[in-house]
Amino acid sequence: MIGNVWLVAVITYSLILNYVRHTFSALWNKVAFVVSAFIVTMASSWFLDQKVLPWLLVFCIILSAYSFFLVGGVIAGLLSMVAVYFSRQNDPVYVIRFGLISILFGVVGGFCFAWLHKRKERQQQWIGRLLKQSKDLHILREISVSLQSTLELDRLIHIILTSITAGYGLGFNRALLFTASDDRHNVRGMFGIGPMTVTEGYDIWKNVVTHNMTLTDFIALKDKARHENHQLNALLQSMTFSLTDPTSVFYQALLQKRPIIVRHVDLHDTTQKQLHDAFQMDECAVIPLLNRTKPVGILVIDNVVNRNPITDESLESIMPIISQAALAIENARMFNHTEWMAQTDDLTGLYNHRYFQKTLHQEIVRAKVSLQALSLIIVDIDYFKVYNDTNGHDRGNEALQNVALIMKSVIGAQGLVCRFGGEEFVVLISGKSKTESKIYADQIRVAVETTNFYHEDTQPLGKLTVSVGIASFPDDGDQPDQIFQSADRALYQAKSLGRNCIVVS
Amino acid sequence: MTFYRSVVLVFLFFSVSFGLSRWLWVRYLHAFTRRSLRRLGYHATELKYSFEEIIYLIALPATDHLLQSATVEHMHIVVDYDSLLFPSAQALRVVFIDDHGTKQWIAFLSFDRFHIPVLDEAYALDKLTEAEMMKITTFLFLHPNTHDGIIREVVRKMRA
Repeated sequence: MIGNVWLVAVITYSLILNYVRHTFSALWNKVAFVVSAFIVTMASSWFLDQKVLPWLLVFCIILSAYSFFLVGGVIAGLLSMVAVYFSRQNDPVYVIRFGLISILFGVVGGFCFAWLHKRKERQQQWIGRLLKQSKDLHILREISVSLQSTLELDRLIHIILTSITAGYGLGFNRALLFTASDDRHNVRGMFGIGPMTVTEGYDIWKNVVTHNMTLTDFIALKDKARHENHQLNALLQSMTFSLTDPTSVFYQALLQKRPIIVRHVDLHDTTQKQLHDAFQMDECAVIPLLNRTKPVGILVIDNVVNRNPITDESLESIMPIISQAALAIENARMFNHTEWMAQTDDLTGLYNHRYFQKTLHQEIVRAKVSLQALSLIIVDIDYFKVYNDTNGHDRGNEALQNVALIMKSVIGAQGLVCRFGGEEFVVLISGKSKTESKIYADQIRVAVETTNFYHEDTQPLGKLTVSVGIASFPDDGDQPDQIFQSADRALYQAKSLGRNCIVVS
Repeated sequence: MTFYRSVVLVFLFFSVSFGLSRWLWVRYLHAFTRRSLRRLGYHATELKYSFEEIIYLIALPATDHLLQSATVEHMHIVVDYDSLLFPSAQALRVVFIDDHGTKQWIAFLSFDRFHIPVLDEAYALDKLTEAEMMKITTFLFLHPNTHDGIIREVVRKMRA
């Protein structure tokens, strides 16, 4: 009967204890369990059979050493000695011998458990590192594929910043990219991704989690990112920092060719102060983007939302991406420059024949879709061969440049001015009829006529003039060739009518 | 006779503790989570969590034809606990078990990288203490619905 009562009591006590102790902190949870183990051991042996106490206390010492390592083992050994003293007061030799053994047992147990604990921790650290490396490799692979898919600078930058800020990527809260000017003396804010405030950061994150977006999804949302980060980018793009100021953190990062972690913003550094004032940046990392030691830009990252400290270890993951990013940005820049050269006329700075042909096709397609008019103006300098022969090719080139300038200033953003070849220029004006375009054509003609060119009095007409032919879509056809031939015929008609005039097809 | 009774009682105490500690811990976390979320105006099933920090140990999408044809039924979650007596969740491992019973470790989600934005925000706004946030996060980390969600996400990524 007594046995059953003890049984029920111990089970009930164990159940309550094992539920309640979880409400405590980790430390007090352990204390509660170890103390309870002592109480149960003492009570069961005290009331039932004291002879068993020393043996049962061994479990308590093991438990204490398991929970608190060396300290726990020693304290449990001492407590066990005291407990045994009360049960065996008449046998001091036994008590001392038991005490010494239990303390020794506690010390050895404490050491063993501490060693096992450390070993387990080390193993977990290694596994953690390996898994992190595995994740970094996945990210790098995904980013490499994305980076190789484009040479558009905007898209490249979006991919890079997304991979740095997305949780599926490296998970920094915010990233701001500054690109170096051509002379490498300044950096200008280019594009940023991240929240302006902590609340905005949580809202973005909740949205991301709700829609279960992956890194690839983020990369696909370039325009959305631009829209969502509008305020951040407006501020960022208004910023320019000198790369020649030795006190600037940007200068230092480029000089040292390695990232600098700014733990506390130094307000004496104007760069740091501006970043702090504009973006509430207290702690950040400044990472130089270098391509064969040549500065390409600067990346600034911070954790404005979760305030996680930026560590050297966390930056290790970013460096392979940064190296790729610097190379990709430089390649895209070179590509853009080459593309620009391929479609620009060196002498006048206008778009060239190739670009005109491409654009004419595109504009006609667009005009067909939007059911809008498209006018083509061809401008030819009258007696240009005479001008060249009389004044020399240098003066001839100068005249071409001046006519180009006049045309650009008349047309402005209303249309596209190109050098077609030789002394012929073309203008494409979307949404304007032939009659409306004639106004522009006349402005060009009058401007050329009234401009003083070098020795223009030697020209057959006594001044440098232009003849103009105009055609348009849809009046003169719906194919590029048809429209161009109509405008060309009108131009020859203008020539045959005595030049310095305009003929509309 | 009393000698054995004493031993049995102590063994009983340790056995109950070892055997039921984890189960009682989860019961406690359940009650605590329900109470805390009610205070915040949420229900456990409404909370969205982030899959972003799942680490994959295979190429994605899967290149192995066995893994390519894997279904949710082939995937199992193994929870890594720190200790039996003083349990704390360390990580979830997603394991693929093929029709012959061969196991392959596919993905891993560490507890410290399991984030629930709503809770993080409540913590940042001082509506929750860190300990409270950790308890709720732990409960959701161990919840079968979370495990199902993670398995579905892993399978989706493997096939993507």
